[in-house]
Amino acid sequence: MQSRDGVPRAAHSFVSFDGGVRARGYLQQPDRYRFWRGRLDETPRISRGAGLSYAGASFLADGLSVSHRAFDRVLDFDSGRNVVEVETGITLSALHRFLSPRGLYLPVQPGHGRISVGGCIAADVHGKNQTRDGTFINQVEEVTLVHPAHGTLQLSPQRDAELFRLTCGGYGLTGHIVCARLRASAAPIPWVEIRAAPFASAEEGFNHLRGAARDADFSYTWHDMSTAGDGFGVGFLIQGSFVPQERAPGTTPGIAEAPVLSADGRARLPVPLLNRLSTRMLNSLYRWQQRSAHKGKVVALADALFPTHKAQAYFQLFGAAGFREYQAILPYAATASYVDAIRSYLRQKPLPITLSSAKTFAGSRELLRYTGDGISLALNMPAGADADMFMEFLDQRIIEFGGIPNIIKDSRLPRAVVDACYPDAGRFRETLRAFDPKRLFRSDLSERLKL
Amino acid sequence: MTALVVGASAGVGRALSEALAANRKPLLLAASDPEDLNALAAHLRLVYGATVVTVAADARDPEAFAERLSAVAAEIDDIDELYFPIGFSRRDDKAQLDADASLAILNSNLTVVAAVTARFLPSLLRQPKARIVGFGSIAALRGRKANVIYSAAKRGLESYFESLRHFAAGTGVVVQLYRLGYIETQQSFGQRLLFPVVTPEQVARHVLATEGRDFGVRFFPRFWQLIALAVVWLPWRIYKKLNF
Ligand SMILES: Cc1cc2nc3c(=O)[nH]c(=O)nc-3n(C[C@H](O)[C@H](O)[C@H](O)COP(=O)(O)OP(=O)(O)OC[C@H]3O[C@@H](n4cnc5c(N)ncnc54)[C@H](O)[C@@H]3O)c2cc1C
Ligand SMILES: NC(=O)c1ccc[n+]([C@@H]2O[C@H](COP(=O)([O-])OP(=O)(O)OC[C@H]3O[C@@H](n4cnc5c(N)ncnc54)[C@H](OP(=O)(O)O)[C@@H]3O)[C@@H](O)[C@H]2O)c1
Repeated sequence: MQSRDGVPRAAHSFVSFDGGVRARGYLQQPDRYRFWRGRLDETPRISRGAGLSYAGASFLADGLSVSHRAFDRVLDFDSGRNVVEVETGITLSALHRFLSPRGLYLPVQPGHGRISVGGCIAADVHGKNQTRDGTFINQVEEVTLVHPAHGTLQLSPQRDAELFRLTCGGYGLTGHIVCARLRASAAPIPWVEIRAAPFASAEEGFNHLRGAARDADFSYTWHDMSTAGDGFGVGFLIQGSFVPQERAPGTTPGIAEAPVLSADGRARLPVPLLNRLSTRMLNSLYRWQQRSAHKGKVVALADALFPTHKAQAYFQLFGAAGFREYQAILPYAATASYVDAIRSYLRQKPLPITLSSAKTFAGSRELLRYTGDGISLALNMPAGADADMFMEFLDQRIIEFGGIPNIIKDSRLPRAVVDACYPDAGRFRETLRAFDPKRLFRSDLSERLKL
Repeated sequence: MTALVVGASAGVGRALSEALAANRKPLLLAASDPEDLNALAAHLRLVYGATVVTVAADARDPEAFAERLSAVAAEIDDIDELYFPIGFSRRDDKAQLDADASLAILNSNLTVVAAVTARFLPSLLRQPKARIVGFGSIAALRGRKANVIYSAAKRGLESYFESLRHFAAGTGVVVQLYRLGYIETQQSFGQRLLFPVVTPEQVARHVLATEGRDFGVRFFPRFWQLIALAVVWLPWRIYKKLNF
């Protein structure tokens, strides 16, 4: 199909990474700057990064997804200030390959190297020490935004700050983010020592986590919640710190290209292989594997940043039917009640919790970004009616306990829950409408949440 | 010694420029849009430490294009490799384009290659080792109702490269034409294709791996050779009914 901007559009079937939303729409993959300079028409549109969001955030039924895949270059590097300018289609892994030999890295990065910088800005993602490093916006100095009605805009915390803050964490709804200037941090060494310390209950794990977030460079917990009986919530505190120079391996680790990951590839298995029995086996296997990390093991920085590269088969085990993730930040005072509620529910209605992992969070809530003070707990399970019932139960607990769910991780999250949990949801809508009264940028996520 | 890449800013040209930069080859890159060229040049300098000079000019005016290129080239190192991944096609190229539109296609696919080669050939012939690389298309195998002018230009390009190879025989200049199948670029995006596509990076790797080989013309991917046989030998009474 020819389009007015001269770049072909192809009919395309989209699926969210969790397999929860499927839609037919159009895909456009511009590869030249004249596309951004030209007249973009008013077809409902949305930017697409790597398409790895669990929610349907970068497509819309009958709408147009504009892929940034071809815009993946490093444009500028200020070695004095450690600031790098990139096109936002660049993957985290490619950017890491650029920064690492210069003794730099981005502390805030999600767990897979195929994810794009544009996706990280738009979802304002978190890394492995949110308490210390905050969310992705903290690393962003400036973005270049293209909108059919406004042309090209340069936004920064100093320049059009309100639109900058709406764009970083705006789920692509303010326009196409074409380039960004990012501030990197010093990586003293490209090696990290990872230690896994066991704990006997979820609460104990959360307490250890709060201490670890102060001292370690990376910290999160893993819990076994595959059974609601004895041993529910036991697990490991996983901490990583840059290896002291004197104990570092004498070599520089190679940084391989991140393994290919896509929503379509994830859903290739026709039948799910994760049920209650296999989930328990998987959890036991993981526990057994972690024994070797009790005393500490040294891994390349890239492996610590992108741990899912070596475990991405896990996502495939859910098969075409997919999976669900419930990730929410709970105020510290509510974590015990939340975990108790989960356990009681699972006692009555057993469900294979395939993964449970927590991180500590700090920060003030603003707009629709996933941040705040407390413990962020993520639960995975195979998709299905049971999972949906459990997710609805969790929605109610989150509202009751004053928590917030992660919008980018949940393809079914209802508008009512977002409105109840995010005090700024109304302000987000108003600010967005004031900037773009025609609401040109739309996605499955924005339609569901009426943004 | 520098490599000149004409049509460097996208698709095969961009991948080729990146592969050459990774091999530490100094580059002179040409295409029509300065913004695309600047982005690519910055990337190659920062990521590979490459030496890169760019020229933005419109190949629809082949003489002016060649003039600009040779003026810039005169300021830098000698050129010993010419790559022409330049190409331009239109989806409405269905035997009804006017003269200007037809000339734009002919010039960007064929005339500019001849005009630029003419400028650099004398100095290439003086090199002990040099290379001229063109990119043909399976569209030129047999005329059909789509890509009418484009296919004619690519057929012309094949003849031009055949002559060039003959002309350069016995010198240090190796002349190669890669007849490309479907490549995953803007030219093929969104089209329903009968056979598998390859990435521009695969093309670039193949081109660099076959440096110095005096084969004249070759298909890439190689399986197109068999398909080409079938297309060329298909009896007219069947061929004329095909809708492709
Ligand atoms: C294996 C795995 C591990 C993960 N780990 C974490 C984690 O540790 N922490 C965390 O916070 N998240 C994590 N995520 C979630 C992931 O970081 C986000 O969903 C991210 O937004 C995905 O980016 P993407 O490049 O795939 O973009 P897409 O999924 O294509 O898009 C995501 C959103 O960004 C917008 N967008 C993308 N590019 C642009 C652009 N150039 N301009 C404007 N808008 C744009 C889209 O419109 C959409 O709203 C993980 C996901 C996976 C699959
Ligand atoms: N893609 C395929 O499936 C396919 C199949 C068979 C053969 N081929 C051939 O393979 C080669 C590479 O194809 P591709 O798909 O990589 O092409 P592409 O992505 O469209 O890139 C073409 C390049 O040529 C430049 N160019 C085109 N017209 C120009 C002009 N008038 N002035 C200056 N520069 C111009 C473009 O730059 P600007 O944008 O600045 O104009 C761009 O750098 C071409 O010769 C093509 O014909 C392609």
